[in-house]
Amino acid sequence: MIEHKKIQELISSYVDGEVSGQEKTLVEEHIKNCSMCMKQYNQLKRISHSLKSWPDENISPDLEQKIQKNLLDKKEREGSIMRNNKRWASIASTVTIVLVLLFSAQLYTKRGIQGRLELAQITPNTVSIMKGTQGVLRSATDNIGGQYSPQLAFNQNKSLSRSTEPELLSKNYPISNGIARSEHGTNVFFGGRSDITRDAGGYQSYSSSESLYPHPNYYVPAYPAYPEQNTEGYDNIQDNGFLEAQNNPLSTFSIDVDTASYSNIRRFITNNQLPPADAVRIEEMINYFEYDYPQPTDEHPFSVNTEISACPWNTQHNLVLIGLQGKEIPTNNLPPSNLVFLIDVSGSMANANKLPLVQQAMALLVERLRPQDRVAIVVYAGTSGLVLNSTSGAEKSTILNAVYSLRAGGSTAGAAGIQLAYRVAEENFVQDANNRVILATDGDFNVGVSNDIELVKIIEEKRNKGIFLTILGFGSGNYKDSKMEKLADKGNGNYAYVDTLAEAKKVFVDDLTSTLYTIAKDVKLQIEFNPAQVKAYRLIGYENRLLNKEDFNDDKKDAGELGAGHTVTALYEIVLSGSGENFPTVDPLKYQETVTRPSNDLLTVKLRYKNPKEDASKLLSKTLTKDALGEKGVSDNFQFASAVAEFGLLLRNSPHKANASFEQVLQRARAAIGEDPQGYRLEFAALVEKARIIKNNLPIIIPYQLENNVDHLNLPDHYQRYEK
Amino acid sequence: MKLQAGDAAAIEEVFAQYKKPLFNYALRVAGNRADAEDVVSEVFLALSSHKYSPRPDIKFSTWAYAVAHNFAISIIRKRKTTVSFWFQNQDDETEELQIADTSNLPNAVAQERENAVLVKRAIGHLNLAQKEAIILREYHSLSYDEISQVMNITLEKVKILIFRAREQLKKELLSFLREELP
Repeated sequence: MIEHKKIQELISSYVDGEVSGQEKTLVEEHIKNCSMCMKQYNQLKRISHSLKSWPDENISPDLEQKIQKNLLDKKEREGSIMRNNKRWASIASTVTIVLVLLFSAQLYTKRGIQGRLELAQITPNTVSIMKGTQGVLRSATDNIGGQYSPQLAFNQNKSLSRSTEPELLSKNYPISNGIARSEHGTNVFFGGRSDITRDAGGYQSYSSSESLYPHPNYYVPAYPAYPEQNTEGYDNIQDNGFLEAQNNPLSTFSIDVDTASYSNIRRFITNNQLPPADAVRIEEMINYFEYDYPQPTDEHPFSVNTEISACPWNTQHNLVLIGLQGKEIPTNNLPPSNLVFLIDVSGSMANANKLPLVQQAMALLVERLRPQDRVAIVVYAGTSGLVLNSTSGAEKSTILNAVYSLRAGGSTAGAAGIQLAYRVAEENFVQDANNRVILATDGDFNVGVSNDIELVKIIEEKRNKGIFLTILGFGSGNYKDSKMEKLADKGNGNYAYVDTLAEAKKVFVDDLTSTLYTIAKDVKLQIEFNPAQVKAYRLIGYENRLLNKEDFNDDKKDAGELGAGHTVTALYEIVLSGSGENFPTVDPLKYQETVTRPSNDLLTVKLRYKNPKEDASKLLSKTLTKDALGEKGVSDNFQFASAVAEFGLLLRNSPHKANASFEQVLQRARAAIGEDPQGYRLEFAALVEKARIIKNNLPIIIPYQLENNVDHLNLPDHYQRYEK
Repeated sequence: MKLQAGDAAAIEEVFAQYKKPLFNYALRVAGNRADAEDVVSEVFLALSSHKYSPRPDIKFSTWAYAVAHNFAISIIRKRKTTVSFWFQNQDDETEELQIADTSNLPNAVAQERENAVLVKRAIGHLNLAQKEAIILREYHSLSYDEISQVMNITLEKVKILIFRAREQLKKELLSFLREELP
């Protein structure tokens, strides 16, 4: 279409404003009616705009000086000679030009070579040549009498693991090494001729006994970019096994209100990957969801609930649910908060799912702050610093400005940051308030006092002064799950993993009170099984929360915290007596006799907790009798919790998964979705479906819910714009 | 422009004003700093000599670009026949490095740099005339008329060069460039 071709040419000129009035009308008329040409117009605009991303460069100062000097020289010469002899002047200027040309040609040639050499050092060719050199060297030094030291190998390794930054490249080649470098470079440049053994390092290692080893910097092969390695850290988890009730009637553990594992798993599955088994902590998955237990009616800050039914993945067994429900505190009755955000702004936090997400999450929280609440912001990277002094929750814009001014860059000195954050928290300490440091990080404490034990010491010390720690984990690829869980645990805090804005909303808005307001601390559970009724039992999850049986009554022993409105759920898979199954047992004791008292009880739940400001624990207990077995039907709580546990078993590929299947999980989860005001349970079902697809290598059709999980956010307008 | 041949103060003023645009023009056209620096030296040497003097009938900036254009063309032609060996692949490899380098930068910056590399590469793939025309237009905001004077071609030719350059850039860039604000 000649018409269109012509118009498109005109559009190009039109974009530049280089059309006559007539052409302008023509184009404008045409664009209005022709979507294709409208598109062309927009595309050209975009291209024009995008070209701007190639920035202007600065002229080098030495060139400026040179040109200026030349001009000046020329001027002087002209001034003195010109008056007498015009011919001389022209000769002089010609000479100057020639000189300058020569000089710049020389300069240029030098640069050319240099550029060439630097490049030569990083081309794959060079690498192979260098490798060759090393091979020769190694055998040479070996021949000298086995004096080859691991130094060479060490250097090699070092260079392998180094990053690809060009500064580092040049650091590997100090100036003092310049001669060897250009010599070597020349060899490479002229095709890497085989006179390799003659080059400096190798030659020296033969002739001079002083430098038996090649210069450490000399044989560092420079490699092209290495793919970022996944350095996420997870502690190994061994599934709890079955224990015989006769010999081990007590099962003791600390509650765990963390939820990080679930959101981390969700991140994996959303990215079409199954999580590593050690990233799956079943108790955190179960406790991610809220269950509908009755509110406490007595003097205790929470209610204890039990339920028993057949175990869905192993019909020979039964499943016991123990659920705690923390007391709800109406928002306006909450004590004031003294929050210190400690934000990791190291380079690793730059990704969209890290610092920007932290900022959005904080914006959500700031929205909920009251005038009596205070917020301070401390950042840490290479150095740590106070970004925002403790500021009242009434000054929302001040806080938000500080939040959005954060930029990622530098390495991480987490320890110094933590110290500073605690100092700020202490300076602004408010009695009876919620004094808390909130650490947002991807967990990379790689500079400074990075020792876990030391960090833990600081955190424990401050905990005793009444400052708690909440940890929010962000990001992937470098995520130190194991470290963060431990730290939050020591700091009487909780630990959540924030992978999406929806999760940020859950942590900061929906679960705000339970995340930030502790109603009971050091909550421990001890379950005594009745060996007459229960043959064996197995605690599902809580592997790293197990306590010794004597720890239960030891008030010095730290345990988990319960926030306002929190629910905590634990599941036991039990084998009733009379089952034919055999479990590892010990010989009968020689000097003691165990006598079982006849009872219809299956088990007794004992629970110890302390009020947040007290040091003495309180005890409450609840008994589950055999009669409960006869009850018909199961609650949604039980259905859903068991579905989540079964999903966890599958993801962990647990030895105790028995007949667990994704289909069963889905079926039960869907049946137990209930009210689900936030959509978390629905999302869980979608997640299971997707995990099933990944596991079975089915073609991936991304479930609607996962892709749209921001839909239920219903954020105010000014947050929406941060969402795509 | 009151510049008279040999007037040092005036030359200095011109130098301060034009060194950066001229250098960047030459850099984008020639594709490497060494050549660009040569071009800039040449232009200012020429300015101070009597052989070249600004023509009163055209804008000084246009004249300066025209001089730079002449030197750039001649340097590029020379380079093509003589020392191109030294420069083979140089730019390509630098680009690869720059792409690899962005991993630790904040997202927006990294993206911008990647875009810069893509743009650089795409412009590098244009033929010389198209390249010059689009550079003078997009980076130096010269009018078509001025471009025709700088490059000594007709106005019609300028339109066509810019149009074709854009068509090619579109082909190369549109699929790569991340969504930006419209």
